[in-house]
Amino acid sequence: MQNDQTLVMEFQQSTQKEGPFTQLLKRHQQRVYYQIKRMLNNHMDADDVAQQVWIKVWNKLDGFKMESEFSTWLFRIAYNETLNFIQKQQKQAGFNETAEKIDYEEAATGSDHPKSTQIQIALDRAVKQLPEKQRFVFMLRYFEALNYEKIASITGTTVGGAKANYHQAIKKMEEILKQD
Amino acid sequence: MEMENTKKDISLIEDKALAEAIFSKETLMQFNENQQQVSSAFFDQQQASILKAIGQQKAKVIVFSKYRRMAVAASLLAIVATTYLYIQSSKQTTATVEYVKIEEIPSEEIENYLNSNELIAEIDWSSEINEEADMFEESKIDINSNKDTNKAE
Repeated sequence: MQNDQTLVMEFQQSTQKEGPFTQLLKRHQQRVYYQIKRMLNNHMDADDVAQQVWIKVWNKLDGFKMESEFSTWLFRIAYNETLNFIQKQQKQAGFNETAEKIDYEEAATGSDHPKSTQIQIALDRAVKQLPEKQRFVFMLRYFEALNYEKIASITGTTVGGAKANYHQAIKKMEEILKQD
Repeated sequence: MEMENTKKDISLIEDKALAEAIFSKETLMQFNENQQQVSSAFFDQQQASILKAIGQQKAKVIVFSKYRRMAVAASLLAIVATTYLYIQSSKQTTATVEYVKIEEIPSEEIENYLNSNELIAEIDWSSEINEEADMFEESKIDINSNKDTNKAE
């Protein structure tokens, strides 16, 4: 089985790009989708954003210089696309606390969360209230078990900054839980 | 290297422990599981959708390239035609301007022009005069010849 670097080189050097691209897609597709889904908490939105990510990968892969791992570069694109989507959504919805409450309740009882207990609802709420960057860092660290060097590369920050984001996320979630 | 990895593992375990102190490990795992609830065919469908979108994008690029070339050619033609018409209209404008400027020509130049025309006119007049003179001479001869004829009788 070819590693990511080999597949990327094959993509860049060949006119038949679909083959190596599809292999990269199959290999990383689930992780990308799950990370975006954790951020957006909505299947259709996560699917749309994930597709945008892969289309962008197709368009930009020829220019990828392999200064980092392919997965780091891929998650960087996913991070940017997710944040862009959230910002767009907030502009369109005119984000306010009332709207957020309604969304939260719907999300907690909807099909995305078949087994909802009070603590689950509290966790959903806490995660949703985190600033996007802290949320992303928390997800990557806790659920993807990425090291801080990689997280820093993905989110465009320093290792120290990434660590701070994670610890700030923990602190914020604790405060939110205490408020409940 | 192994020491480094161990340190990192410890660091990850510690970080996870911080989160699990607030929400239990089970709660966090359940949260993650909830995010992964998708149909078994979902990722195959997503793959197909992505590849289709890329194919359509490629087709758009080809069509756009063809129309872009035509648009560039049409633009160049328009520029050439506009430039040509502008030059043509400039020449006419110049002719008009020259016509208007005749009144501003200095008197000397006008006199020279008239003189040159007088010369031409003189030549014409001279021809006329000579012609008349010839005719007169001819008629004089006729009169004289008639007188002689009358004396004889």
